[in-house]
Amino acid sequence: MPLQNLQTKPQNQLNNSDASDERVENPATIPYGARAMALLGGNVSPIQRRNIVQQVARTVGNRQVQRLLSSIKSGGTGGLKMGVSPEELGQATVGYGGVSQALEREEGACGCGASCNCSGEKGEDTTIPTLESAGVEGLGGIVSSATIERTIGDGHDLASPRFSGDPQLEAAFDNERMVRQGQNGEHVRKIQQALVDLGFQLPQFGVDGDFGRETKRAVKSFQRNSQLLGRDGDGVIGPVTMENMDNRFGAAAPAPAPNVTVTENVTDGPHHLPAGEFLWQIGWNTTGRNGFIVQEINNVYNAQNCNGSANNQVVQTPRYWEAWRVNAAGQVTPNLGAVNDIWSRVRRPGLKGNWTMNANVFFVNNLEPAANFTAGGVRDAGDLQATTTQPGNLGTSLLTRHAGGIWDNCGENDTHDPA
Amino acid sequence: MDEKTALGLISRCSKWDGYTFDPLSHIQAVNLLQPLGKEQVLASLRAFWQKAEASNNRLDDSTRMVLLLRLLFVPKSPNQNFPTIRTGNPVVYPSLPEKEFPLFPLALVEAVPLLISPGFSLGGLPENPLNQIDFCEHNCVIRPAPLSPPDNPLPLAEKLLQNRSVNKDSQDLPAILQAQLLRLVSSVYPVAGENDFGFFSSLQKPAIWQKHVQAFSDLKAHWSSTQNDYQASV
Repeated sequence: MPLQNLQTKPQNQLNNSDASDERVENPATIPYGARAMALLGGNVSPIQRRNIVQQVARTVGNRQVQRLLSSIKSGGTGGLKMGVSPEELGQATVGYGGVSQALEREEGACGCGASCNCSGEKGEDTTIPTLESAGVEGLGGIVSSATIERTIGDGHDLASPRFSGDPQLEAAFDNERMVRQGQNGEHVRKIQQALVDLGFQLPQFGVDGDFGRETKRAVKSFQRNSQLLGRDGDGVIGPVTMENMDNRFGAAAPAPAPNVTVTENVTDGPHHLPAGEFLWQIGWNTTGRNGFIVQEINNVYNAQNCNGSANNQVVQTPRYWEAWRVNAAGQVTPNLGAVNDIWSRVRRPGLKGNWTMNANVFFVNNLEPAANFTAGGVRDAGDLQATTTQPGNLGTSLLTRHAGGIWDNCGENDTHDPA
Repeated sequence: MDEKTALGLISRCSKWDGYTFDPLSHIQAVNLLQPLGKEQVLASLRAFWQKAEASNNRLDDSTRMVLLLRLLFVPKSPNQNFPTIRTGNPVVYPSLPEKEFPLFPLALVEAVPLLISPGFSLGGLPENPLNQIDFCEHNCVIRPAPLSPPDNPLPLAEKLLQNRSVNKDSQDLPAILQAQLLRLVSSVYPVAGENDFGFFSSLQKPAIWQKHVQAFSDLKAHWSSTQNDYQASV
């Protein structure tokens, strides 16, 4: 069956009757790779073979490659002729991209000179040749680029909601096409928004959908921040950078270490002042690193005129979430001096009432994009990144905080007591 | 003017509290700092914040700075406004909506700054006032002329509230503004207990306010640009 036909069928309808299918656990992916491997027995050049192997290896995934190789060793290829041995290919499946590296070793910097572009994230032309672009005439037109390139839903997909399903970004993740300076479009906009959300600023041009120098600098900063060095840190987004960025936002993001602690360091207060005025200033201490402290605030505020009627002059956001960045050294920002968080209630003379502020404090590795944290987004939070949309990745509260008061400033009364 | 004097002027400016706001403190600071020129004024403000940020008065100091900035500087473009102050959730009176006042939480009425929002609630971190200073540095010129309030400023509260539906608001709004005006003229017309909470209750009685207006008018006081304060005629 032609490969393109296999590709266009839903995976759960793939023909399981071939002999090669019976030797693997996942018939949805392995037959595709196995057939492509078998086609390598045709009349193709070493570079074409290398490209085919690269594509196939990426398609079936590392674990499946190993299973596939077992089947090849037992004679399932139908006459496989490759530039690398199955054993070497098997060793190269330890990490993602290992196949490519193994092939580079075999062919001498991928056969394209010292400034190798074949593996992705460096140089001017970082596009991995597809079978079509590599000119695989030897396959007699059976295999087109569309049949060998990985597809969305092939099991090797971006996990985060903001990236998942974007063809350009999935292609970068699959090492098929890089995202780089000079490009523009929605996929660039998504990358730019992700950079901003992660704290890598685009001060001049912002999120404009154009991958210019400013975006490249921000990508480099992200790569440095992610400990991506060498060719992985050149400002071009290939599979390694894409995977790292996806992990920051996706389900694959690592959970915070179970022993992370967040504590408050009170620098002033709490002061219960006359007429309902209140002030409390604290700084954060945390053992967490490279993440965010998120505080959920629940406000209650009830004011009455002295005749007992309701006074609704003070309006507060009843519930919101605000965030501080924690860097690798444990520094918490933003801050004003030693203070990260100030709770204050406005003075309201000639009134009486009660108020409470209850907070839960969390540590997360990233701010969930769907929650749309925005600097100044909630006025009660001042200049902090804040939202009224409950984030879904907060986990267990690491610290609870409370403040409250009952005040009476009517007639001769002048009391404000903690509550 | 040495730096110590400049910092003293800034520190005496009223913070964002409608119940204690004194317009005179800001008028005097503007009129004495303005001749220094834009660069020196910005340097003084930055020096002030460098000390204030480390103190426990940082919240009050940040608000007195951003209020002063709105009076000291003018955006170069008539279409440009000062950025919103991210200090907290301000109390906004429906009759004095934020969008109608480009200097919010201030309203500049005949060269008299009045604080039209009595305060704000905060559960977070106020904006670093250096952001507002940076805005002024890049987008503003220093006020071209000093603030010269009218000889009788007390009617300015009524002028501000004219044609506005104050009844929708708390009854204390006129009293808050009137008390601010009384502080402005306190050097020639001191009123005992002006910072007491009961003072606002008394002002809510129109007859009492009218007595203050009449009494100040009888003084025939005037604004002295040389003294930078009000003076009685004799």
